[in-house]
Amino acid sequence: MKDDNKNPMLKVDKVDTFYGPIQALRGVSIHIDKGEIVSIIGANGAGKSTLLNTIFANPPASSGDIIYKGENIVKEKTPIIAKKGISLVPEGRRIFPAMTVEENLYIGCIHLPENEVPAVLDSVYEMFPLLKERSKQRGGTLSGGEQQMLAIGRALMSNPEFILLDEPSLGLAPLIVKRIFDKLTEIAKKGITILLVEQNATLALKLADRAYVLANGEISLQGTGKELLSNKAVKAAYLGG
Amino acid sequence: MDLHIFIQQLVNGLVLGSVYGLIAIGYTMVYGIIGMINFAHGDVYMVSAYLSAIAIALLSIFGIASAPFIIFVVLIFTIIITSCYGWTIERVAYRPLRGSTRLAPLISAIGMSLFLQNYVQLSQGASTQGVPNLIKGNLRIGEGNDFVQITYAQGFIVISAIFGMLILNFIIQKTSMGRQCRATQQDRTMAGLLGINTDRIISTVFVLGSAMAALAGVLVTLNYGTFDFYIGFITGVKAFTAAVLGGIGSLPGAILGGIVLGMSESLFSGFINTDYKDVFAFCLLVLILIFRPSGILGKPEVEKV
Ligand SMILES: Nc1ncnc2c1ncn2[C@@H]1O[C@H](COP(=O)(O)OP(=O)(O)OP(=O)(O)O)[C@@H](O)[C@H]1O
Ligand SMILES: [Mg+2]
Repeated sequence: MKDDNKNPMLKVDKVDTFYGPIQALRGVSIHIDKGEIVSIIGANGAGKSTLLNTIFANPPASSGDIIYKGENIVKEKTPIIAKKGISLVPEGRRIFPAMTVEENLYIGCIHLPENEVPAVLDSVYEMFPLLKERSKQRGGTLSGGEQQMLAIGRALMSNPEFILLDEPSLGLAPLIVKRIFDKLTEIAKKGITILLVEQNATLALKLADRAYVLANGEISLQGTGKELLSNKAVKAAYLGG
Repeated sequence: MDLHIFIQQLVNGLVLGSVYGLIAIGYTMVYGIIGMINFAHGDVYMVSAYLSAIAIALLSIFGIASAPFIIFVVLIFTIIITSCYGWTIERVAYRPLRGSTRLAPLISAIGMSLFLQNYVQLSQGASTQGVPNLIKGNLRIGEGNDFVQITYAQGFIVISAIFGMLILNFIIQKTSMGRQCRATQQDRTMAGLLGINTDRIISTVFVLGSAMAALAGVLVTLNYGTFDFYIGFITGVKAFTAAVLGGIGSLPGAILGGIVLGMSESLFSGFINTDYKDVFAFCLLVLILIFRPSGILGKPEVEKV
C-alpha cells in the first residue's frame, strides 16, 4: 500500500450525503493518489453512485470535505467541478441519444481551448476506432457496449487528469466487459488517475491498486486489490463465495 | 369554389402561419428544455409590437424616411430589447422557482403575463396603436377579377420568417451553444456533469425564443399596422396551438404546426365563417389534445405539464 497522502489527487474526508431525509453516505473517507486505480465495491444501494455524484456536488455533501489537488471543492457547483479536470462516466452511460456520436464527443470538451480539440478527438478515435466509424450515427442507435465506449470517450474529451467510472460493466456481455477493462488499463497507462465503482468485484479488484468496500453508506473495508480478493468476508459477500 | 380564392387563402394562410410558427418556436423550445408552458410568451410578442412602434416613432422624429433603413433598425432594436425582456422574465419569474413543484412556475407565468399586459396598458394607454405602412405595393397574378394578390409586406413576412428560422436552425444544429442547448434538453443533469452551465443555457433558450417572437412582432406590425396591449393573448394561444399541433418540444414541429394552423384558419375564414376563425383555432387545440396530444412530429410522452 502506498503512503497516505503522498501525492493525493482526491481526498474525501468524513463526508455525509443526504437525499431529503435519507442518509446515503455516513462519514465516508477515501483518498486516491495520482496515477492510481482505486476501486469501490459494494452491494446495491450501498451508496457507490452517491459517492461519485457527491464528488460532483450532485447532490452536494452536507458535511465533510472534498479536496481535489489540494483545493477544497466541497462547496463548488457541478459545472465548476467539471471544469477542473475531473470527468465522470455515469451509471447507465447517459449518452445523448438524439445526437450523433461526434456531437456527443464534442459535448465532452466545451471547456477545452478550440485548438486542442482535434488532437484530443483523434486520440479518442484512436482508442475507440469504432466511434470514428460511427461518428455520424445517432448515439441512441449504438449497442450497449458501444454506448459505454462513447460515454468513456466523451469523458476523455475534456483531457482529464482524473476519471470516475460508475459500473462500466453494467448489463454487458463478458467479452465486452473484458474489452472495456482493457481500455481502462490503457487509460491508466496514459497517466490518468481512475476511481472505479463496480458490482463486478472480481474484475474491479484485479484491476485496482487499492480498493474500498462500501456497505450501507460506510466504508467497511479497505486494502490493496490483492488483499481484498483474498479477504474471507469479501469473498463471501461479493465474490460469490 | 373558386380556385383563385382558394389559392389566395393559402397565400394568406402561409403568411399567418409563418408568424404563428415564429412565436410557436418560443413555446416549444422552453417546453423542451424545462418542461414548462411559458404563458407570458404571447405577451413578449405583444411587447415587441410596441417596441417596434416606438422605434419607428423615434426614427421619424429624427426625420429618417428611408423604408429599408427604418425596417432594418427597427428589427435590430426590437429583437435586442425583446430578448432582454425574455431573459429578465426567466431570471425574475422562473429561475427562483426551479426545483419547486410543477405548478409554481406555471402560475408565475400567468402572473407575468398579466403583469406585462397591465404594464403596457398603463405606460402606453389602452387604445389601439398604429404605425404607418412602410412596405407598399403588391404583386398580382391572374387576369380580370380572378387574381391572386400578394402584397410586398406579405412576401417580406414569409421571407424574413424563413430567414429567421434558418439562422435559428444553424445556431441550434451547428454551434457549440446549440449543442449545449440540445444536450441540456435531453439530459439536464448529465449536461451539468459535463460542465455545461445549464442555467445559462436555459436563459439562452428564453433569449432565442423571445428574439423569434420579436421578429414576428415587427413583421406583424409592419403588415397590419395596428395592435393593442391584448394581442398577446389571442396570438399567444394560437401560436401555442401551433406548437402543440406540430408536437411540443419539436422545432420543425412548431414551424409545421404554425403553417398548418395558419392555412386551415385562413381557409376556414375564407370559405366557412370569418367571425368564428378564432374559435376555430381553439376547437382545433381541444381536438388535438383529445386525439393526438403528441402532435404531428412529437413523441408521445406521459404528463409533463
Ligand atoms: N435520487 C435519489 N433520491 C432518493 N434516494 C436516493 C436517490 N439516489 C439514491 N438514493 C438512495 O441512496 C442509497 C444509495 O444509492 P446509490 O445509488 O448510491 O447506491 P449504489 O451503491 O450505487 O447502488 P447500485 O449498485 O444499485 O447502483 C439508496 O438507498 C438509494 O435508495
Ligand atoms: Mg449505483
